Amino acid sequence: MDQIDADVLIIGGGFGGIWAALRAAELVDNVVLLEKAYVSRSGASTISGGVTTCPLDNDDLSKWAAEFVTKGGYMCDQDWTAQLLEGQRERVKQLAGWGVPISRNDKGEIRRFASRGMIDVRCMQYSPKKSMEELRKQAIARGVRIIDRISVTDLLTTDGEYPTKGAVCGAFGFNTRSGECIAVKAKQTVLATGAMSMKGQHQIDNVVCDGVVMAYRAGARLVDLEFSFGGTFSLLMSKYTFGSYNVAIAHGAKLINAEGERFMAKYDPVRYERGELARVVAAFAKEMIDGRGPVYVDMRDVDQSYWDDLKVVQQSKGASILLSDRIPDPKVSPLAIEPTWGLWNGGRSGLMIDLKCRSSLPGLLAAGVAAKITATGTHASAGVPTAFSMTSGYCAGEAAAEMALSMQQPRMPDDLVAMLTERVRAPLARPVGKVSADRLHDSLTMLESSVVETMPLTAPRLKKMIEQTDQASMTADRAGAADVHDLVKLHEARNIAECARLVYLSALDRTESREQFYREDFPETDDEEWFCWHGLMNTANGPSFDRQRIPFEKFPLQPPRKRPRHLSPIAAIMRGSFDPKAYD
Amino acid sequence: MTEAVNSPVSINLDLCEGCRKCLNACPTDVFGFNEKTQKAYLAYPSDCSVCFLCIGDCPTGAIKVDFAITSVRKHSAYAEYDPDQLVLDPSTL
Repeated sequence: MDQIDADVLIIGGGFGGIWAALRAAELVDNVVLLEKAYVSRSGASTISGGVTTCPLDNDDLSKWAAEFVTKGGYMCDQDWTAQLLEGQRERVKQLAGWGVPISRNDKGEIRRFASRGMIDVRCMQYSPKKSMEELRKQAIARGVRIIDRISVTDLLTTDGEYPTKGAVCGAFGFNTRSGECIAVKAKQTVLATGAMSMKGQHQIDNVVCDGVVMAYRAGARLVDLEFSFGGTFSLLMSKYTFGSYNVAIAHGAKLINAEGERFMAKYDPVRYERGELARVVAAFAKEMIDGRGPVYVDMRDVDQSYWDDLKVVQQSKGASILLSDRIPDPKVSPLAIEPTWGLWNGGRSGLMIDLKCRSSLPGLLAAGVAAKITATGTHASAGVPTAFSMTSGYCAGEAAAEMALSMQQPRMPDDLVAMLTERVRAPLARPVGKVSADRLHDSLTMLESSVVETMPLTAPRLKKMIEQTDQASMTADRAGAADVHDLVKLHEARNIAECARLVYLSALDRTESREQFYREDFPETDDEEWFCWHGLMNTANGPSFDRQRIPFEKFPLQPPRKRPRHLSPIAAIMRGSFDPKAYD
Repeated sequence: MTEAVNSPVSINLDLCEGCRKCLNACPTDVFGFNEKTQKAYLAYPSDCSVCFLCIGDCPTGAIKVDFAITSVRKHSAYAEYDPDQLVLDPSTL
């Protein structure tokens, strides 16, 4: 057992965590970062397509903010919108200053382009792997103590209670190879554990739901969990990873149906495939349901810069199916593509944080997409999750360090670490039995199906899914682990089951449809009841929901007027009555 | 239901020089290290999620990762389609 003290503890070593560490280490001495894999070879920040929002010095950011807020249905904290854009301008400069590879034009300027969701906003292409390598180097140079291969299972609380009436004071976990437990007691803890997801969906199988669920157990307020359904066009010819849809469509890739029709023209005559992601996914499902599938990605007109950048990405990351000889040449033949759609929150839900990234629990902050991105509401702009991860990380590291400077090291009950050690390691003493951790993960992913079936939600379907998560949770609680590697996966399965249950409960509670959240049995958007942030907290009586009004009157941009109830965009697409003018 | 046991990853031990870079590269800990032979081995091959990070980091090209994902955890809307339908003949457009 390793027990250490820190001023600031950061959980997770992607963009959110590493930027938090960098900033905190400028202000306090003792910064510890725990990472389940290895910082720079882990998580969505490393595996992503490498697109991030790119504001530069001469841009009028009020126009960019307006795009985020209006396309986000005004469901925004507009102060966060401004903070995100101003912050990202600095993060881009910093990345460029460190020499991180960024795609540039003939003049050597950053080459900017419009990707998914963008009209005035622009993004850039950078090397995700190289940027994470540089960030690791910078963090070590500033004295951050990075401890790789730690699976964090629980937050520590000052009263040892879950939910706590006190504060968060660090975290507990174990080494994913040796099994040795570690407790880090900290004045402030930054949770930066990334997206909520299931294994097998997005090529980032170590990113699941650990952080959000442990924060929920400790009592942190989560919001908008029903918006955790998501995904993108990532599966090529039903078995290959496509790579970045966001980058491809920014350079001329189109979606066409089996009749050769560019069907997005019906839904978004301005942005086409770059339109709001959920609408494109719904349009895909509609084509399939109406018998015009498969849907193909047509890359015949993609510009040369795309293929040039792809070679660089391939060299850095290892491979791209598009440059392999395993498939017909995508420059010649359109190839069948499909979206995944399931548990993938990407910042549309998570811990509710303020401008300083503080959660509702004292001692706990959140950064990256473990937190809800209130800056963009329901809008899905391709570069935002990475941009938000960097800037929320920076802000969280700063706020955590500033609070830590005026604090003593907190105390916690003497027996808490021993209790957690016993509980966390208990599966190693149990026989593996019929249901292994792998089998549990298989059954959890079976909760979801192909996008055509997964997208429309109904009360009976959600209730059935909730029952299945209950069963999975019970199985996980009884299961044994063959070794430490299995123990990691077992805790992950337990977290996914609990997280999925909370997502489905939230979806059941929300009796409307809104942008990417689609209830077939409540197809209308209902601003009277649901123009709010939908909170969820763990209480002594179980999950408890609340609705927090969005205080739009204090922000620069006001919704035009109260809209009567109307079919949500996805509901309209599914019914064949979608009029793009009505949903602009 | 089938367990996700198919593995897309393999190591050519003749090429492996035992540098251990793959041990850091893999987010899901697929690789182990055999102290006796001083070479990497596939400790948990079924956990390969086809991210290709190991390919970029292996200095000798000893690791191969197949492009096809065979995991039961992926749900394709084209499961019932004929493979020929997954490529569109451009001359029909």
